[in-house]
Amino acid sequence: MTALIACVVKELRLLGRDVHGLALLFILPLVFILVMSLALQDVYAARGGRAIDVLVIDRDGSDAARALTQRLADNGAFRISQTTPLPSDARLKERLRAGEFSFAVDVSKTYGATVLTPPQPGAPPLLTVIVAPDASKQTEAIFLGVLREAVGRQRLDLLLQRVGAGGGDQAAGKAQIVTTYAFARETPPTAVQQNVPAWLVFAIFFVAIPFSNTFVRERELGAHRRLRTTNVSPVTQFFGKLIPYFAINQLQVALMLAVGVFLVPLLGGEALQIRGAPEALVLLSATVSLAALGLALLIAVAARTTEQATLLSGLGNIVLAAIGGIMVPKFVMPAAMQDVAAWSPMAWGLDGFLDLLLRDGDTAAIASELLKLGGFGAVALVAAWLIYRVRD
Amino acid sequence: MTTATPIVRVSNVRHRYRGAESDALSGVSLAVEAGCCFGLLGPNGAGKSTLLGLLTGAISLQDGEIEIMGANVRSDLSAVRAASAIAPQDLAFYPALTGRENLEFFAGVQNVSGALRKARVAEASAACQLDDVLDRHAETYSGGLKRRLNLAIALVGAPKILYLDEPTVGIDARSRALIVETIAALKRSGVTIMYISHYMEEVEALCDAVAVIDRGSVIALERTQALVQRGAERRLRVTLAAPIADAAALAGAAWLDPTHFDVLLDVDTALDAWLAKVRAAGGHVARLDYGASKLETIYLGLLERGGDA
Repeated sequence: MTALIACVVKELRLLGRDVHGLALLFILPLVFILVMSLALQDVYAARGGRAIDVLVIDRDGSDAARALTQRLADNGAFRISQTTPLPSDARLKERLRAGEFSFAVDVSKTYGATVLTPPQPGAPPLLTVIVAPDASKQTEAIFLGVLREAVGRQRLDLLLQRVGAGGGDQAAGKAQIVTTYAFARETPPTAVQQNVPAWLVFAIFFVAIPFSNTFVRERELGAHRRLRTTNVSPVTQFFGKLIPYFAINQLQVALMLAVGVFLVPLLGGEALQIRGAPEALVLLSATVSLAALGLALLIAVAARTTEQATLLSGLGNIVLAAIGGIMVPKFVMPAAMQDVAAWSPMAWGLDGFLDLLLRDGDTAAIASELLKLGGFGAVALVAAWLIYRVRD
Repeated sequence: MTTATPIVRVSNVRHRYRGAESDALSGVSLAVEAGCCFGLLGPNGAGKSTLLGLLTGAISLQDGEIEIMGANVRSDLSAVRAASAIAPQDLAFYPALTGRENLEFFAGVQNVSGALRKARVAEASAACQLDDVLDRHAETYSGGLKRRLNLAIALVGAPKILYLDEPTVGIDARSRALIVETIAALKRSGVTIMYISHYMEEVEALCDAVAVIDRGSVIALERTQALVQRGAERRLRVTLAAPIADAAALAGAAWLDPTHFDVLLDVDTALDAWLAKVRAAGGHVARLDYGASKLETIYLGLLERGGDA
């Protein structure tokens, strides 16, 4: 036990003096989390089905104008705001440019009186739609279609009322449409829900760089050869290295989650909600660390120089992150790439975290990820041990 | 060399590295007396470091037997390692740690803890005169201080047998003297030392016995004093005033350069005969050295003649 403690203390001291290694483990993923969570929050929000903001400027105030506004609100795809007093043109443009609304609908003063009247040449339009600069053409077309459908239905209802057939069941007039999904539909993550666990998993695996470097440097220094002449076993030496880095990994998890919960909202992003079973989170964090440390040790024993160690661990991590849904979320990948992603241990870790943070999962929900990560870590550790013994 | 109480016994050891065409060590046998300083001499690549590797268990023994304090290297490596320590030729510590942290770590991995560890660190530091720099990072040490730390680390386990692989290489004369002094003190305290060095004056001053290894074989194994005496009795070095035209006329002379040659004399009376031969060959003797020798000369002679001193 004394030997193990000595190894752990030595490793912590070496790591504590490796400023670059610490920056790599803590600062780099933190920056990625902040930048990605804040920069991409609108992209993720739109994909997640966030309602489109619409400003209705009701200059009429008639029952018909109010009914139209209600129809739009009932659609569910739009979040309707109304404004009084009526804004100036300049103020309206400013609010649209600022991204407060995607569309403004100007309802004319004569809307209620003329909604059933066929359009007359030179008469003011019933409705004027002002489009925000960042609204996509696709969204604009959908919104105009919905708006035309709302006015059309309102006209139909008014006509039916006029001939004494109105006031019936509103739903009766709607076509019955049943929606089914080709695949199980999942709630897409928000920017913070995607990026915090993604870069957290990346950071955990990034320990391979300082880990393999200190391992190889020890060998180059001759300290390793001196240790081989003492009674400290290779297993003790391995655990003397793995334990501090395991602790570092757990510190990374706590810090990155805290950044998502506390720091991201302070900077204008959405706060990370930590849901799911806490014991499952601890178990997942430990298992991701096991997989990462197995890989790190494998690289460390396979590399002969620090240059090789840096290249193998750096490049390996970037490739695993690229295919594992860390840099590009899996849900935007084509099916073939998603199949490739299924082979990345980073993807298993990320899927596990998303199950917990996004879907309120528990240990059973992440069992397959735990098994895959644990298996990968165990195989990597055994392979590292075998290579070490052969080379020894 | 046979000793009464060998603490290290090496019997017919052979070792060949994977892929090598010849043995690194071939039939090496020697014994080291407890409490003595034993010099291991030989040119680079002779097999000295391989032998140290086998003695410390860093290299697995292929053929032959090695016993350290009665413990077999194959069957009781743990006891072998507990009894010994090495100060390797390459500096083997962590530059980013302080001298104290290095000593504490290497004491810790030998399961030395608590008050004993503190005492051992203090002793090793005092023995190698590192007290003033102990809390500085080792990477800031001078070459001499690094060598002293390398030696101090070998001492924290309080070994009975100490293997020193060129402990004074590449450092200034003052640091060398300090390390040699430390080694002499260790020897006086009863530590058995196996000492590899290319500095023959150090070996001559420190070592009670030496083994000369060349191309994997022991070509001489003797008490240092006896070796020096033996070489001194038989070697005549002749310095000529000028090169002679017919050098071949001096059969049996080992020419060092055109004006210097060595000759081994069977008996002292042969001296007159050699002087006559030089004169007959037209040479003029400028200087004669006979009856006094240095280990370095004997060592070089041994290597030249493959052990026939």
